[in-house]
Amino acid sequence: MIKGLGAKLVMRDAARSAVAVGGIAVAVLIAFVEMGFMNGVVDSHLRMVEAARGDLVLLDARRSHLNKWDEILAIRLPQVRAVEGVVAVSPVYQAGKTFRAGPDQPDHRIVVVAFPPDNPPLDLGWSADTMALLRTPGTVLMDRLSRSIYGKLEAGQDVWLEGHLMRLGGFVSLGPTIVIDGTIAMSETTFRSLEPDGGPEMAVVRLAPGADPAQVKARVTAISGDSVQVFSKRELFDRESDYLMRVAPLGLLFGAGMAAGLFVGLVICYQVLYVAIRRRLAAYATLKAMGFPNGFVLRTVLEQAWAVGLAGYGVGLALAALAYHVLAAKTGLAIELNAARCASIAAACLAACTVAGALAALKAMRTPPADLF
Amino acid sequence: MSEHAIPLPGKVWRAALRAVTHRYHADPTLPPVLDAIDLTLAPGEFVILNGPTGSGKTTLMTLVGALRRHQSGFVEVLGRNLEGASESQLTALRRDIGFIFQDHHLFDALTPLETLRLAMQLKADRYGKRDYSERPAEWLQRVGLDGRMNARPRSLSTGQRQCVAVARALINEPQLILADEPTASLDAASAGIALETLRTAVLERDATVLMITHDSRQFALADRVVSLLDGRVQPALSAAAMRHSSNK
Repeated sequence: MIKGLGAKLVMRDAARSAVAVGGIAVAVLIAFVEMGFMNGVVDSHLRMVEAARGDLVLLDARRSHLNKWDEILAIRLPQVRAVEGVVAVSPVYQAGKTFRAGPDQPDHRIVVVAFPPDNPPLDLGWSADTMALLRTPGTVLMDRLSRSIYGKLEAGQDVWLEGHLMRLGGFVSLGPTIVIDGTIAMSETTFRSLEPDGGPEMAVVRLAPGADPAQVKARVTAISGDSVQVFSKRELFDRESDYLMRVAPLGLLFGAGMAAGLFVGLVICYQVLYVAIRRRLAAYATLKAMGFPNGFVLRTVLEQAWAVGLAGYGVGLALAALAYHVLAAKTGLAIELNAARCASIAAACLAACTVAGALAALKAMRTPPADLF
Repeated sequence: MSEHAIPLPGKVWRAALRAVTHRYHADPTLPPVLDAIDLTLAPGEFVILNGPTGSGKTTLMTLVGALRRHQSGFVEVLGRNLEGASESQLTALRRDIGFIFQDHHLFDALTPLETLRLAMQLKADRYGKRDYSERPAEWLQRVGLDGRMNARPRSLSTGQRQCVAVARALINEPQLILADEPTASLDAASAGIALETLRTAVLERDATVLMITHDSRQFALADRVVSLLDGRVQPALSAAAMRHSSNK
């Protein structure tokens, strides 16, 4: 029995199939790159939330997203510490400063993050050495994932923050965002030398073992009133993602790019299939004359669409993996492939090819077999 | 589609048409392409359909082949009345008919073996796994293609391709075979193989062949020649008389 007539038609028409596969691969690559930028911007923005070593995060009520900095009233932190179920409340200070790697180097803006050094509220890939260095006043730790504009830095060298001489003790890991080129971490004490009156932008709350986060959150909210927003990490993830996707609105911008890419794939797939069907119209009409139903013709064309779609997706995925590697290295953004993202583009690609195949098949399905005589 | 036999006395017909008129235009003042056609095709009959261009041969062929719906009169094919037949019923009926077209219309991607296996899928319930390897090979041997079973169509001659098309039409052993100038573009050897295969189907299986041809040398194969002129069947002549008439 002959199986996969459509697949045979694709395989044995190598030149035309290669054109279709190439076109779809480019469309898939465009969709992946658009998705990569979108997720890269969002995921990079969420690194700070991901790094929080605690169960709840406190933000000032005015801070509608993490790119907007508003200080929490300092008095709130000891109040929250006193709430039943709370073990620790750690402030996180953030400030934009000028950074200079040497006396004759240019200034660059950098974000300073600071916190109490004994139990840092952010996971920045600590080692025993970097934890010890963090406790040393006047010593700072550079985010090694920062963009290359800051130059080649080495542990032990002098750096200047807002004109203050500091010692670069070592390196931690956080990563830039679309608006932040680099980050430098320091202790609360060192930060005070730069900003004597600066308050925390965020606080990370650790709960006692067994404490119910929802109940503690309700208690914290009750004592803080309207001045503080309280989030679980998941809630803050969702809020920030929603802000970037809907309000920013990255979802629309990059979503339109992805849709355009897939539309290009659909058009290419349709065009190649349509030309192939026109060329074989008499053969399809013969199938119908012999007694094959229109469903068989549709299946045969869809098989071709899926075959070129899958091959195009495979090539596009390989190109996307390469593009992601280059883009992540160049931008510092968290541009990463994962199974869910690969599956979503695969599904969209196959859906586009199915639509293209069905539209192209109409030509063969509508051709009356009587015209063969 | 009614399963009732046509109310014609005394015989089972492979196809029967009564008072069939067909038009391609709505203007009643213009002549129809077929005008009050009466035609019966009996089992084991080899009938040649002949007539000048525009006489209605092709339309008649498509009506017998359930490829076109009749507009008036009565059409029964293989015991099935086509009045009011649904599209799927017509499609199912066509699986019992062998079609040979003037051009082979083979898929360029399929070898002769694969082409025949594809045709066998129409009657998949008849065949076992082994049949799909043995039966196409036997049929390709019969039409003289035993050395080219796995060749791609573009590497076959026109005659060889048409022989594949003949084998494709016959592999499911249909009771009714419709052939539209099957040898028009063939060399003598290929034409001989194609016609011999059709004749064998009539003699060995009692199949019925309705074949359009303009080649009067082929009239000798026929039991009967039906001549159309301006959409009407002309008075019957024997095949020998027709051949004699054409040779004048």
